[in-house]
Amino acid sequence: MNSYDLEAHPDSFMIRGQPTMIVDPADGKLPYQPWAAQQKTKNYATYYDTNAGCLLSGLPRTTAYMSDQMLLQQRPGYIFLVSGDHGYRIIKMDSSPHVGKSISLWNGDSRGHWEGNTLVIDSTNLNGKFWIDIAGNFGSDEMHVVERLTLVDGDTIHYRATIDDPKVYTRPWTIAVPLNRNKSKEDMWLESCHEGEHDSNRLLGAGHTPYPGWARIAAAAGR
Amino acid sequence: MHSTFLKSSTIVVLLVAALAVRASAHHSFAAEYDAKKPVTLKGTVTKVEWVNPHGWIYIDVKQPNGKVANWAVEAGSPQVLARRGLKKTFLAIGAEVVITGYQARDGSNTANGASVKFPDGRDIFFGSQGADAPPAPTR
Amino acid sequence: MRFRTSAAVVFAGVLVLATASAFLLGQRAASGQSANSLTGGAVPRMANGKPSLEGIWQALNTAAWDMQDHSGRVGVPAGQGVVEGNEIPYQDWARAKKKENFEKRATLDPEAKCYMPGVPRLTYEPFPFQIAQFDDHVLIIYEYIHIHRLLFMDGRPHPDPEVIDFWMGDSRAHWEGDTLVVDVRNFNDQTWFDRAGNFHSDALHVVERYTRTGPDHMTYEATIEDPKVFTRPWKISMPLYRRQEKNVQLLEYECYAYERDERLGTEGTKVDAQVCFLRAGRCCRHRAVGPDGAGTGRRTQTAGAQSVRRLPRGPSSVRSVRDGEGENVHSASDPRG
Repeated sequence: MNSYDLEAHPDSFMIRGQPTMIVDPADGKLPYQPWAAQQKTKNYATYYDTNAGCLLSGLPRTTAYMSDQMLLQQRPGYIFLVSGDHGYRIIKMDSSPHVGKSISLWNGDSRGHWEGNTLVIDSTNLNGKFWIDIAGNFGSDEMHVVERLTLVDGDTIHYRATIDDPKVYTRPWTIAVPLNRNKSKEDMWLESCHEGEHDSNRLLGAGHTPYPGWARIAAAAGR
Repeated sequence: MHSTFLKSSTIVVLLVAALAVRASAHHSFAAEYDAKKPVTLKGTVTKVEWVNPHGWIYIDVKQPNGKVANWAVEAGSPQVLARRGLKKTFLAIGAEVVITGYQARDGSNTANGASVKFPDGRDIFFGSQGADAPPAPTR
Repeated sequence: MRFRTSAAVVFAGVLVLATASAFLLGQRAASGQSANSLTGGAVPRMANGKPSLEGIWQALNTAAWDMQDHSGRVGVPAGQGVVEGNEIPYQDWARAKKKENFEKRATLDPEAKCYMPGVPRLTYEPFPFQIAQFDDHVLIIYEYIHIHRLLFMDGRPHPDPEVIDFWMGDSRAHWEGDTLVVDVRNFNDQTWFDRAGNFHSDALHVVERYTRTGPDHMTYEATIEDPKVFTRPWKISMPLYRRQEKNVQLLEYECYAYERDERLGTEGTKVDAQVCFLRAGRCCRHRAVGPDGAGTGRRTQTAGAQSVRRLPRGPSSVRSVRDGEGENVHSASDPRG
């Protein structure tokens, strides 16, 4: 799946169309609070995608629809999800508490456990500074994400993520996407980004500014 | 409790959409480039930067008024080319090329290039592929 | 990366260096002696019999500032160097270049622009990293700018450097006894070895050696070779310490994101100019500057800014002025700016 827009959208200029990834609510649309729906439109018109400046992609974007190559590696007490170009996630597979509330992270703080054949990952401490997709969808710094990864056959993982963010949405919502095994034997390479990134200059020139993140968005919207 | 999900501690799973070639959708091309400004640039290569997230090819283009303008063309990532075995020097300084693309919205001499054509007929696609690749231009 | 001094102070506070033997370990490892007997514990091993390099590790030295012996200076603790013989064998032209680098380090050091630090520098940046070990590769993930390295061990060669190069090089590893030997090539010429201006070309070749010496210690050595810059190979070595805190985990250090936050100012506006007083490696005051570079008396307020401290402006403080126009002010290679 691609990261242009969680919701259904057709092909358009430089944007590849796709059906909605959202399976709940049934209409496939993000259940924004009214002020937040307006904010999303304002986001796309005013700012530019946080990924354009090489910021980390956050959740669920990093895992669900970001990378063509991602390693999933297991060691005692940990599962690592490593991307060639979008950083890594550490899933602690123990019952240790999440880190303190004063620590906020782009990719959140994750604790995992097994329920039968499903890996369940609970993530908090997200910082509200990333866009959920290129279309400007966003969340707060109290977003809570629960992901479920189930191997349905040797080459396919069924991925579901439920996002609960009562500051922005009227109810939790869920996406479901397949993750397919990459059968090429290519090495996964580390890609730089910030070192050679010039696109943000074009975007600034086109009248967009960097997304200021949840704290400033909320303050400006009186939330 | 462990499960059959990951049978051994050495499992390495590379997860991907259908295509194995790297995508490079780090941002919205739609916000940066203008559908109403398609360009065809014929000129000589003056500089090439193979960097992430996108490479840049600079070409001197002779304008109708006889002056030369230097254009920056956004190309694919070095990984895209490397996977095809292309050397960093495949595009030589001084090479005559034709590049089609769309101009940047900010009005600068910048374009998003999809392919480069050489006078000998070679046509090398160096744009994005994979799940996040934009659809092919319809013109 | 800006928070060196405070990070070093915090780290010294939490790391348990319980016995004098830990200090001795550092000295003896540097002199090449085995330190197994000092650690009081056996080296943990994997199921395949190889030593385990797993754990959360961190270097505890000042090499990231300056890899040779140096006195203290503003924001930089004094340090005994990690270079064997304390000499870096530059060619004559390169020695002059290093001197110039040092003088202009605040603006020239690529790490000051939050670029990837390369190898071996990332090992001794004052941030933790975590090692996960497998039969055919080793994964190292670093807290610093979410960098990871894969040390491939399946015997395949480096890719052709004429096809691709990397900020962090390409790593191919194998065991020699109980030491993991990592051959790193395919570098670009963009990184420095430290903040003091020690540098290399794209011909850089590094051979790392990781040797676990006990439950909580590892010896890290790196041989550096670059025929375009040095007259011969040279070597560094240092201990690595396993982080002891219960529930310790890697967090994030998104260097360029923080730096961008500082420049953003109020929502939706560009900061016209920003003056960063680099003291203790940290930007701690912003003020607007007039066209002559003098302060106008106006202060720009960044979100979350604490009360501003007045800083002494002695000769030891390093000052940099950035052009706040445009997101990336480092794009010297892009004529479009």
